Amino acid sequence: MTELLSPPLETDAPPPARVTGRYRAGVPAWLLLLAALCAATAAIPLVYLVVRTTEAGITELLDTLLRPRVLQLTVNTVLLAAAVTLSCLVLGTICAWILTRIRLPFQRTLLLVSALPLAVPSYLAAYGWLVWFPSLNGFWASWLVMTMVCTPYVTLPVAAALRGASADLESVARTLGRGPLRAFAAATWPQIRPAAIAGALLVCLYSLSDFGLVSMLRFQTLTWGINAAYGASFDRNQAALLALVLVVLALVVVAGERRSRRQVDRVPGRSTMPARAPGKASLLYVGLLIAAPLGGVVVPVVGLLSRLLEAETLRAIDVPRLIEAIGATLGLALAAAVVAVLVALPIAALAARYRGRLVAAIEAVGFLGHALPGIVVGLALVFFALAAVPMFYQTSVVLVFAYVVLFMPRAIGSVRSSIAAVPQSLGDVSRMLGLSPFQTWFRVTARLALPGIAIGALLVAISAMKELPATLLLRPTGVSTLATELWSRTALFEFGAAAPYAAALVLVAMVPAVLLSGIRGTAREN
Amino acid sequence: MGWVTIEALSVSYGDTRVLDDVSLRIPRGSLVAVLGPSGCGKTTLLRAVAGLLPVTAGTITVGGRLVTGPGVQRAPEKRGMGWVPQDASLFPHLTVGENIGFGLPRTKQSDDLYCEPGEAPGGVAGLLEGLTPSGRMARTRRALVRSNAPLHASPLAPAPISPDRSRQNNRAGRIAELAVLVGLAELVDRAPSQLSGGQAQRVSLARALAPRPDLLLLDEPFAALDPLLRSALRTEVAALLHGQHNTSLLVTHDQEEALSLADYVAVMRGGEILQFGTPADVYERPVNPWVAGFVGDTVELDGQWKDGRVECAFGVLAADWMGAEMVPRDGTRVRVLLRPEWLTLGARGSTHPPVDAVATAIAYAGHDALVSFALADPEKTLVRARIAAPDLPRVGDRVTLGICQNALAYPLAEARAANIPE
Repeated sequence: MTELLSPPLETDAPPPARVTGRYRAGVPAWLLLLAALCAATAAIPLVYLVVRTTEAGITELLDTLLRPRVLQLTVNTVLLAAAVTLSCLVLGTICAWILTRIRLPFQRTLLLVSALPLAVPSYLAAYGWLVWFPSLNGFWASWLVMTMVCTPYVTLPVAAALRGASADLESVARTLGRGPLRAFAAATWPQIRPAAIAGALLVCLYSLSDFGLVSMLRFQTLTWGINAAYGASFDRNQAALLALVLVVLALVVVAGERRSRRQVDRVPGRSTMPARAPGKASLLYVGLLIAAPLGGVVVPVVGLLSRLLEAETLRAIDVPRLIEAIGATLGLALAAAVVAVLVALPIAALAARYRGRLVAAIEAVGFLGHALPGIVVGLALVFFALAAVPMFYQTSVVLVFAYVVLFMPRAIGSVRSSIAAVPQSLGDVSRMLGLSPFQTWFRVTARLALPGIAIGALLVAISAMKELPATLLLRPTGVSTLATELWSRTALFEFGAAAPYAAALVLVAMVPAVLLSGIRGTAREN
Repeated sequence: MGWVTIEALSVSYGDTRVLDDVSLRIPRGSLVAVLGPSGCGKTTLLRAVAGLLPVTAGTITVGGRLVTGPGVQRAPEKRGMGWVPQDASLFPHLTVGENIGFGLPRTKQSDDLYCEPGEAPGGVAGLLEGLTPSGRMARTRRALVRSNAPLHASPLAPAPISPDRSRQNNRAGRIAELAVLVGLAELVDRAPSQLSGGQAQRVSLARALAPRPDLLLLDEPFAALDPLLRSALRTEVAALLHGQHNTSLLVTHDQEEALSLADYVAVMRGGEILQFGTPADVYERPVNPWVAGFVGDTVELDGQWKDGRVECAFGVLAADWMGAEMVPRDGTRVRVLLRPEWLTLGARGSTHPPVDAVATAIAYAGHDALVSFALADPEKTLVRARIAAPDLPRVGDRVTLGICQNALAYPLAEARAANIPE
């Protein structure tokens, strides 16, 4: 029910049931062209990054690549990603099993609670921990906080898969003489493995791309290195190269995720298993379940509140500046949402109604932003703006464009599934009743898909408000968003001064995310 | 010349030929059923006629208008056809009444601002009425009263045809008229989600009929309903369509549905029409054993042709030659085909001296039963007869079997295939 707390999980849902009409007229050329154009915008950062890096020349490229510094950053990044992925996979699978197989009180609340960490931007969680333990830093600290924040990426899809998995198989295995654990391993695990692995790879992608958390906890990964190299500004080639290394890692992970998602074989059967009573172990179960929400939400939010409510902090709040930051955040997010939905519409309409290699390719390019770390898009667009459209450099236009590239996949996912959910037969009926294709689109398809389109826009807005690295790199001079204010104050160890911005961020970004997932969850239950 | 003429229609999808040279004539005011197993191309035929998919070759004319032909591919919305899909497909965001009125033009004359003199609520209130759903509903209800339609009319009742043409052009009036016609007058302001499957299908039918289509296309409209409801609704719909003098093309895989509803049945297989004729034609004189087996139960025997008769396990039977070629030479091996209900117990009604048989198994179906008999010939050939319940023998009973109709004789497919290489 809560998979919408974080939009990326949207892509974990099984691809929308496509229309069944076997002999469909071909794709209209204008739609194909429009969708291709829209998708092409998403490819600009990556393409330009490659161009920029290769300009430096192969020898210099190899030279830089083999510097111990670069190797060290890469190793750090991969180590952290691997450790976080593994711990999230184990903890998330256990949590999902508890959620679906144990009869605990307040089951739906527990599910919502275990999804909550997704609403917390990683740097906010890091900030919250730093408030309590200012000396926290390095690999283990990053690993711990990142695990807490990312566990739901595994918990939610695995819980959904467990709920959909046939419980009959496990019963059959039991009657054939397997013990409970072996029956689970033999019968149920194969059914949930694709979901678990897809979730784990998503975790991997997020820990690779994360910038805010590792920077605050001072663990030097590639994202940190890119920012440092960019800040040093005399060696921007190195920043570009590091970004390219990061992109390659991310693309490998995304490719793996896409592969793993395809291999689901549905076994028909009763999906509800009589949940067993918790018995004596109930405290242990609940403890495991709330570990991630505790570390990912409660600790940071309580830390934030304790700082916020200190008299000293309250006195020092710079109200005009805070309001200005809120306004900038909301304005940028709104612009990004509108543009992203407009750009996503043709791609989503195409992908929802037609198949084929070209269609799949266009959609995949549209989803590119999903694989690109924010800092990479930010950096690539700095280069691109300077070289191609200098008049837009350091304006909101480029920043909004970065948001669109980064978060368009969320809009495409939501819009596509809502369009695909409108049966094609309704369109046929409308045509047969005398409405032209465009009238049909507005009076039937778009009308029915409207909630999904609105949710797509909201998802983009929420993500844009939380985005840190791209905003840091691209914001116009003098403009600060809540995320950048929080980051710059935390970087200076001014935890008190950062508190109001953190609180405002929670209010404008996290609360809508939770509400949205709650609304969607209820709607789905009904 | 038919009202609807389909000529040499072919549809290919990639390399697969889905429709192959299909020709069909639908007389005005009749209901034609296209009957075939799933995957035979019948739905493709319907979609091609509707203009929902492009054809490879062939022409389709409706009432003399060319809608599909070389270089002509009229858009679905310009064909003047109605479409009733399998799953009703009501617009979930519109009420039942708005669904029915979806295809009616919203002109100033006929739309919401239209009010008959003396009946308008007048002024701003009247204008506002057209803008709110409840106001529109109120107007629909008034129109219902105006057309003097009984609110709980039986769906079988003939359509109330108003003498006043202007009233018929009135959008709300037309919606009300159709709601009455399908027996759902009291449900016009419901949401589609509140309807049962049968009600939804009726609304779908009313919606398709509202713009007075030249041709109504029905895509297995009863397939998704449960069996009891299905037979009740299809009788009702057939009566309704005949009452409206509608020309309709129905697609189905249910032979009972096709035979009981349609004026003409086209049997399709593998993208070709094998036989076109009245239901009785198709059932009693199927063009080949496959058609015979598809539209009903058969008794099949091997036999030899002998001057208008066949020699088979029953002895010598009077038979009709059903092959496309000339009547064969005497002694040619043929396939003999009977319907189980052509066999009778005893000599009653038989055109043939009865033969001895032993009942070996009974498939009981309440009103009648399919009884298997072993004949007295050396191979103890098994045949099945449909016997009405009161006359049922018991397993092991010795009976005599008569035959009340000429047997059908078909060329042996194997024999034909064997002749080709020579």
